[in-house]
Amino acid sequence: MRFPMSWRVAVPLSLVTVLLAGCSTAGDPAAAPSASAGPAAVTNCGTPVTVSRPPARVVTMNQPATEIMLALGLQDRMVGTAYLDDEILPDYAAAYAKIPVLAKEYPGKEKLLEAEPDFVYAAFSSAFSDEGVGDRAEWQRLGVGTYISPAGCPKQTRPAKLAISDVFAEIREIAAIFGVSDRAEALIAGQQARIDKAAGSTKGARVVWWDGGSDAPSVGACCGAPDMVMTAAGVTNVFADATGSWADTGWETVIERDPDVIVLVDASWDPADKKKALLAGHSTLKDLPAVRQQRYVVIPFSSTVAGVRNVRGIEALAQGVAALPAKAGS
Amino acid sequence: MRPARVRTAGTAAITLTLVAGLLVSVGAAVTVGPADLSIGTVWAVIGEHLGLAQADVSVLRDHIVWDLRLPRVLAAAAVGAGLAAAGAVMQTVTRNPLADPYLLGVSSGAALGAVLVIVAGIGGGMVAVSGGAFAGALATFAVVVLIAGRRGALSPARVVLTGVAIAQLCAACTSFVIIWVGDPNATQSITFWLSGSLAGATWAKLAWAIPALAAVLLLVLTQARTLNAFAFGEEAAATLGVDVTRTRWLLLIATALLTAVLVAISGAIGFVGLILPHAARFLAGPDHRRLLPVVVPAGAIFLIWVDTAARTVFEPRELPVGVLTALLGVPAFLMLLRRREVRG
Repeated sequence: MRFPMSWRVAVPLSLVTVLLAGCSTAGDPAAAPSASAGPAAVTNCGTPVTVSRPPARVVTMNQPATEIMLALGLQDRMVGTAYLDDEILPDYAAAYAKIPVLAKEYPGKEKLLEAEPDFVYAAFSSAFSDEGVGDRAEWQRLGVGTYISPAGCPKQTRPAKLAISDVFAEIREIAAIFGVSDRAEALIAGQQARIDKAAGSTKGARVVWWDGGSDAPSVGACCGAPDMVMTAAGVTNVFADATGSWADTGWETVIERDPDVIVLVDASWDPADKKKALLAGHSTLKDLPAVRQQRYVVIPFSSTVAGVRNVRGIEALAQGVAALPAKAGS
Repeated sequence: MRPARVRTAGTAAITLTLVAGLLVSVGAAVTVGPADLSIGTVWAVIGEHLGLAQADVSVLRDHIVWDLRLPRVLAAAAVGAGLAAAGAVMQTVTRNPLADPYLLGVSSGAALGAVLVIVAGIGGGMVAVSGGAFAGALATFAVVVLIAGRRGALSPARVVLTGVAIAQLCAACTSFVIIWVGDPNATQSITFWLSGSLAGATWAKLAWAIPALAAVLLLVLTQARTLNAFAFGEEAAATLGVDVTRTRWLLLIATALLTAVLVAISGAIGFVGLILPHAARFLAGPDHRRLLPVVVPAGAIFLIWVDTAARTVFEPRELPVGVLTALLGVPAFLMLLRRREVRG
């Protein structure tokens, strides 16, 4: 049961909780960070984030943040998670199961305070809005460190054009904060090797990335995670001239650009099968060569949000395109 | 004040000009679009479908013109004409210059219906969404009429207040559903739909809209004299031999039904139904026999060109047309307002 409580009342109370939290964790050897790690300082979304020692009570929000922590083997530092879009990756399922889930979506401020975190890591800036747990600055003031995935920063501080190197940079920053930089390098080397292996077999195919929307299709535009996955897989994004991460366009424009391959994003709310049915039954699109020849690659939505899953999306796209027969003439 | 005869001739000229303008607008707007098709190609395709000529055009280009552009331009014309007429009638019947076609909760009911369909994921895509919107619009409108008309007599103030209250209730339910579901992609498609868009126009949807529009326009035109009587107030209308309650019911129900059909096709497009009737009154005066023939083609032309801008100006992006109606319409309206004041 949640009672309405104003932020003004919550702040003084939370100070008490955080102070108590400090006392209780200091004497708990199991939660203590590794001795070798020292202080770390990074600039995140234009905000300085400093930790005097690696955080020991972390709460993650959004799937990518949770999975990056688990990929770095940091589950023993995590006291809570929230807001998955998809099942957790099988490799991390056992570790994930031991961490309390604070909320199905964003927890309330009070729920987060109850977990007594010393660090909060989220993938999207919406986590630190009124819809989520409130302003970052308030948490920093309470001595709780915060971090948002660079890809999810507000527009002014986000990378102008997202690249897989930005995701690797995030993994390195998180690893530096927790004093496990060697694990980051091993993880990145493994992912880079998989990308190098997958890309190069795609023959520069021209791809439209259809995320959703049936009247005005929403497609992957120049500068977000869809374009990052396409670029890394070595294919050409036919909507690279549209600004933003995704853009609403019209079917007439899609037809005019005559893509070789259509990426169908598979999401629980908009499954790829429904997209295939719509294309096949559409008065106009059914005659588009890529539709007539069923030149589709299905990619799960969760592989298209910046994080450790992107490599799976890149592999799926590159292998999917390579497996398609050569395009017949239109 | 000019003599009445001259004035009538002037309005007839305006109407003729506007109808001609409407035909030209349809003809020109289909030749504009993101795909690079020549005017000749576009007209060859249309000529072939009308059985006039043989066109040697690829299947896809044929589809672009006949299945994407033409239904959309015609839908823009139908929705623009319908909303402008419905707005003019609503304003007169309720004697409220702020009334618009969505007054009886039609658009908020449609939004709630559409949102429920998008969230529940029923059926196949946008056809189901239109169905949900239509059902929501009818349900809301029925509730408003039942509450506002409980005592038989339909007082304008009671209708307006009930409509506003029920609209608020539906808007709250819509927000609740959106926030409760909290799914960013559902939210995105809902936002696009709520902003009003003609991107989903098809021949099948037009087959509903055109007869509904024609029937209601015919009814409204035959009631033009009655509408004039309404403009002077209920008692004046009764003195002139109008069955006030019956006529008011008839006009309200007819325009609300038309609006429900239109909103199911395009979502709620603002501005057209509220401001265009006022602009048309500047041109044609308050007499409905002159006002209606002006406001109907004016609404159609206006929405055709705003939608053409929405689908081409920001290419390869497309904007919901509802975002642009006010953006382009308000400056034009303010200029008209200013010119009228200067003339005194």
